[in-house]
Amino acid sequence: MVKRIDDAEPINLGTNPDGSQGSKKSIGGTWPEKAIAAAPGLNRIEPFLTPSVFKKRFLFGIPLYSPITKEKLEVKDLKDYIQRAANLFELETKVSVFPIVKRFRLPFDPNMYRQFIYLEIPEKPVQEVINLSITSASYQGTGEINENKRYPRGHEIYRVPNEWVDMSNASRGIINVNPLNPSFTAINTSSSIAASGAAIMQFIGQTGWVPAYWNIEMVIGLGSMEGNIPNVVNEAIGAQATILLMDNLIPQYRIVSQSLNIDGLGQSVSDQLYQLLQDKRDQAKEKFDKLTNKIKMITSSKFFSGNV
Amino acid sequence: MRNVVKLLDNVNDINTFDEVEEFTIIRGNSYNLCFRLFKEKKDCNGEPTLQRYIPIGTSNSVQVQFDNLDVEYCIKRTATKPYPSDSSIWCIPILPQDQLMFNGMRVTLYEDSKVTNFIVETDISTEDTGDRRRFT
Repeated sequence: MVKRIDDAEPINLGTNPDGSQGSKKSIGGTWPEKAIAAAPGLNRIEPFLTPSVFKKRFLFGIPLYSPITKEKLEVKDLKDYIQRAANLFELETKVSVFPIVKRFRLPFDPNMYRQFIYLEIPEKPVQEVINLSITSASYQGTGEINENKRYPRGHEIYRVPNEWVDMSNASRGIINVNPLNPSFTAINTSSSIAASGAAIMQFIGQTGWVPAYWNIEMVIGLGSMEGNIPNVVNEAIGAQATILLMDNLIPQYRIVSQSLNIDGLGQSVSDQLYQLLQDKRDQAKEKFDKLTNKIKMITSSKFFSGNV
Repeated sequence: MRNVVKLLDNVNDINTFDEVEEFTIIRGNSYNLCFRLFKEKKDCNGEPTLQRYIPIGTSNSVQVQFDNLDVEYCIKRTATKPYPSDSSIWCIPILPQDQLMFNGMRVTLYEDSKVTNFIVETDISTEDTGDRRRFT
């Protein structure tokens, strides 16, 4: 029904199956980080890199054929280079280009718990939190709607109302639970949920460290639901795709000069293409390294910190 | 052998149209999205080549699905055949309120009881214009 890695239940980001509030969105955009409005004039996000844009931006003046076999690179081949480059970008930066739904089991840490349930998500930026709950390790017989699916969720012991989930630092991968609201009725949380949750939370605060305690499902990624991604991410992916392409082309242009001499007559031909392609590759490599470093810095993927 | 769909633009009749490698949909606009069914065959040199595919069943239908991470925005439509004389060409309407995701199109052909899924080879981008452009 929905294109997902697993065959778990379809995701409705608007409302949960039980009628409660759906996913909790971040307080601002993921790119530019935390932006809520901008003057028109500069496009910071754009559709994902297409073969024609890739050719214009990165391969201007580059012959896309093999001098040996005369095979030409077609649009579908360039598409393949872009796809591979995007995957390498994700691997390098640990940031998803397109939105992806992930589920993490995070430990219970009393120190973090006392800091408004400070949860550090292993991947960033978080766009929306679908569900934050305390779940059991068991799958079968739990009655959960996806218990027989490929990636089932454990039994939900207690779901933290999404109204309490604080998304202030979600883009940096930090989720807090902040139940500071005027009243439960004002935020439309049922009294039974609020009462049971409060009891569990009071009790668990006395416990030590518990592994895989919190269950959190969320939408992660730099790109929008529609497929728009930051312009600079396209730049990095394009640079990586150029590197992959140059790696194929450069060895085929290795013969840079030829000379032919017969008696007193001589002719020499030199081709600068080998050097040109080599320079292009070096430029692309430098650009990719710089951009991925910056993106890692902005999304806080460069360092990991925690308490032991 | 791959089953492939390519989007068509400027469709006037069964002989007059452009096969496009990329197609940009501006959100908020309506379109009559036409596409053609192809099957990959080997030519006389043994190289794979695309040939248009005309469904052979007595009762043929084509379903188009636009996937989205959010089930609320998934779209499923039955395509129509604008030219009975060439049933490799099919069309579906794109409505202004449709929230399409990049390359989320899937095409399924039903020929009687036979089901064939097609890969959409055209890159379909969606774009907002002006102040409708949203942050990611």
